[in-house]
Amino acid sequence: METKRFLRKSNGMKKIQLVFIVLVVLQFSCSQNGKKDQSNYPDFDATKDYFPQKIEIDHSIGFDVVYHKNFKELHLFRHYNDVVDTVSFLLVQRGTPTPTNEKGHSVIQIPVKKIVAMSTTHLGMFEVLESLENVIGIEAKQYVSSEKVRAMVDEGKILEMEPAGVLNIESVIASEAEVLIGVGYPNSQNDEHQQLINAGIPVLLNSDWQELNLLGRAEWVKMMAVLINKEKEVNRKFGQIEAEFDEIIKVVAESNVDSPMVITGIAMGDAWHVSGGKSFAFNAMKLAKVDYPWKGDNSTGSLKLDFETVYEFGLKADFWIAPGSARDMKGIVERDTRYQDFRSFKTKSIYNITGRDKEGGGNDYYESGIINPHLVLKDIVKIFHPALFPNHQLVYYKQLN
Amino acid sequence: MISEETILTAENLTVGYKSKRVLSNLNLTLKTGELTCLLGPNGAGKSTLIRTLSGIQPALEGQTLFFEKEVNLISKKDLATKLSMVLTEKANPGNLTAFAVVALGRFPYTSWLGNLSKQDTEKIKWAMQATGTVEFANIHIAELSDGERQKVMIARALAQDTPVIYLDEPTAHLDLPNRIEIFHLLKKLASEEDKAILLSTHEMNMALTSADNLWLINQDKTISTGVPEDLVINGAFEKAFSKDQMYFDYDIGEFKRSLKQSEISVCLIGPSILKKWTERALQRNNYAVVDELHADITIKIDGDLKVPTWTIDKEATSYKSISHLLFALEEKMSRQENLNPS
Amino acid sequence: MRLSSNEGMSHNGTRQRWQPILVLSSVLTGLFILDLLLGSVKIPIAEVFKTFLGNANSNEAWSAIILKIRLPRAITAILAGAALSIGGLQMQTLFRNPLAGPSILGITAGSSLGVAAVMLVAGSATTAYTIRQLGLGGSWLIIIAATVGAALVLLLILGLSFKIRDNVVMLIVGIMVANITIAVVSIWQYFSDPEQMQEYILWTFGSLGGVTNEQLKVLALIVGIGIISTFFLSKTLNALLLGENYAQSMGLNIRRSRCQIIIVTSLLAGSITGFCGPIGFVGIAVPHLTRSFLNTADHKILIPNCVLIGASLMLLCDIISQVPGSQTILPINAITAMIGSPIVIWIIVKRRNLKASF
Repeated sequence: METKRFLRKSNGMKKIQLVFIVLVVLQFSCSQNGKKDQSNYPDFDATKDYFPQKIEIDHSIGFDVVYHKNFKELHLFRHYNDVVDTVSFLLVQRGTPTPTNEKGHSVIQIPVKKIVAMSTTHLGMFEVLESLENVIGIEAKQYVSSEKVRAMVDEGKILEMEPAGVLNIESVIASEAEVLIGVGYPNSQNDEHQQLINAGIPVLLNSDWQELNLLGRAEWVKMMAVLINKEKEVNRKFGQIEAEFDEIIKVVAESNVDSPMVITGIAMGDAWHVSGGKSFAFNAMKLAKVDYPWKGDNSTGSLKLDFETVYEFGLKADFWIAPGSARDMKGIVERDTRYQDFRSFKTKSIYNITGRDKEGGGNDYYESGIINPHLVLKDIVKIFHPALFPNHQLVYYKQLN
Repeated sequence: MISEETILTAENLTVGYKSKRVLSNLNLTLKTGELTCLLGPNGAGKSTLIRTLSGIQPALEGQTLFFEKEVNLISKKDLATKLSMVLTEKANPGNLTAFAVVALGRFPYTSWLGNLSKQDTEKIKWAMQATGTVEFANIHIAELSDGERQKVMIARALAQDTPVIYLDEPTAHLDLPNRIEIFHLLKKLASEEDKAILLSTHEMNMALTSADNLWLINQDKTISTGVPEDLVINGAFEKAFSKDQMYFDYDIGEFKRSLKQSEISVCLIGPSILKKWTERALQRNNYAVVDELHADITIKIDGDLKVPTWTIDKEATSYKSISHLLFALEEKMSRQENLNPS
Repeated sequence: MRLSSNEGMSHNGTRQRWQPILVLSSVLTGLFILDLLLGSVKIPIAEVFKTFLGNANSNEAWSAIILKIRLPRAITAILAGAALSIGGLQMQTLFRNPLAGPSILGITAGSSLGVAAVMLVAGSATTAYTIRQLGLGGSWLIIIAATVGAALVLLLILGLSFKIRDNVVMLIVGIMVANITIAVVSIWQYFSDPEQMQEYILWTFGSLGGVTNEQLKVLALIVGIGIISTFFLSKTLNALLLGENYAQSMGLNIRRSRCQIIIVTSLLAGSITGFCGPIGFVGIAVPHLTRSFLNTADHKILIPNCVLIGASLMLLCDIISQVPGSQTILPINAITAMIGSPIVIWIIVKRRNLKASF
């Protein structure tokens, strides 16, 4: 009976149903695309997990990785006020087919062999992963602290892509780089990056500077690892760092030390910018048990105050950290003779991140320092509570003389 | 006139610029007690000459002797006690009172801070009295009229107490009553205060009337000097200003434009002032005024300035004003034409 | 009409002459005290007076703040206001131009050139290191650089002034020189790092708080010399009121006078710019204010009153820039412009002397 009704359906209806069936069949065959493409990738095993070692993100807020069988999704987040701007990449294992990419994300074949790394923060990470051979380009040798990298530049293994302050697009393209890792500030060189993307070179803009704590910044090494399939190494190394880091915190927490008062920054004109209560700088110092006049403040950046206000605290603060670009006591006095009234001046308790800073060159604090958060923390604790780590010599920080 | 002293002598002077000789072969003198007018049309070089005679601009040839010293060799400070100037430009120190401006004239004599001594104040008082500007003493310059302001500038020059004063077209921006007053004032100052005053102007009438000594700029770029009437009589005056279609009326003492030949001749009988003014009106309307013998029409004027009457050719009608007269003449002429179409 | 021998140019009675000075001095003193009392750190009034009477404060920090921060800044404000005002007065008289200010001849632009040379060109890390090795550093380096820059422009202007007869031409030349230095500085800015540029831009905001007590001694000396020299030039300036031609006919040596006025103004404007950065507007507005309220053009009267009014105005701007009650601070240049402009507008609209003065 149904058959009769079916046969009695109008021609129009039949046509529609026929189209529908055809579509289903087509979709079915499309989903078999993998199978069809299989002919292009003879070694591809669709059931295999190509990334048995995986990373997990515990501290960073600036990126995330989602693993699939033969590709990884890399999401980079830029936090602007309350809006989060996400840029995503598909990292596809070489020799495996590219998944459907409806959103049109940039596709990068991994493990990446030729990387241009524009920031010194990246270099430290690659060095720790023992993967400097994958770096074929940097910004400029002048600001690099790593001896290894500098040697490689001299040998021609690494090229300078921005020696004069402007990115040399042609050099980047000619180097056949597979990806360029830059630093993502809101307006950083958008035009140049677009040109590279048009030329087929994906641009990864990381924003590790947005991280608000030491481990969060250091954890970006995992992003580098994900590009070169070194999850195993990074988990081991980062785990070590984390363990040492936690140990230091434990030592501080269990000790009975007082909290000395500290001020930061230095006056520029009539204004004095100090670190905000929720800033990276203070978050680091907080771990070392200090007292800070603006600990209750909520800014993640710096606070703009006037000279008088900070001067009042400066007179009695026990320590003074990061006084701008001043490198020695003479420099402090030259900038303003009134700093001599500060207790920290009289007790010579002024420290700046110039321990491994070469004048006219680079500051290693921003290179290996990023991937050594435990050393940085130890430095900080050593400054405020020297008795807790009697054998530690300051690495990245230096006392002003 | 007390004493007449020659204090400035220019010998074989040529003034001008490297590119252009403006006036040449000048031999001039200035005497105290006299008002000398430098008369010439605009652009003739009056300002250039004054600048050269005051040492501001060097001469191209010849020399200027000021108190027997070459003027360029006298220090500016010293010169300021011998020569003061009044310029055409409208100085605008608006916030100064008239007294303050005149007091500036004491600049060469006051202390380094500019404080006025008793003598300074006396001179200022005298200068303002001589120029009739005492009533403005406390009024700001900006509030004075042009004529009043110029008088204050003259007072300032007076206060500078110099034997010589140059004025460069001081009446250029002034109306006639003010012009007359200024010329009169300067004449008086020259003779009563025994000063040598040199005044440049392009106003012929004032120069002819007021100048004791005239420097007349000729058309060949030299200067004729002398008593004004002599320069009129010997024809220098006419030559200096003559142009096509212009002639100098020696009777009236004015330049006039030659009129076309007039057809109707009229003779006038009556009191001289009324006759003179009627003649002017008739000439403007193209009637020739001649003697009784040659006249076509006779016009008789009776009465006086207060109640004048005009009559034409012994007709009955009399006219109370020149405009009525002119109208009547017009009618008469057109009637005659109608009657005698020739 | 009574004329007494000491009445002087503006024909005011002696009592009249001293009245405004007394009033203005009280206003100045009042503002000075206010500037010391106000600030972002709340210090009780009694404590402020205690500090000056030499008694110990309950809080040591307070006396340090008052004596080392507020007091030098207030004095700097007074010096800056006074120096710039009479600098502007002289320029307005010399050039017979109501828009002239102390920076019109490009002297302050020259200072900017010197400072930019140090901050932008020499500011790259290698050269800064070299300069430090030479023993110069910090704020004295900036001051010296500003002075050298101003002096170079000054020499250029003076050299040109001997060849140029007409003051209007001189004015234009000065403005052009200023423009050239500004152009050079902007080219340097274009090629520098963000940090260097930031440092330079911060300098251009002007700052009264950066002069310490030792530097203040030098500044006070220079400004003092400038003010006294200006007063000595009263007679010359008065003569120039009638214009150069009349002044010359009265025996004034125009070239030498111009030279003297330019040098004194450069001393005043250049020193303030060197120590405090470029501070604008006060030099143009205060002479007008003074002329209008005292209703005179006599420089013997204008100069001391300009000093008082200029100093008072600057103190007022300083107080406002500290935004009493908050902990922020506004750049002094913005405040002087914001306060100064309405004042000039008010003068022009309400009191017509401005136009008459020129």
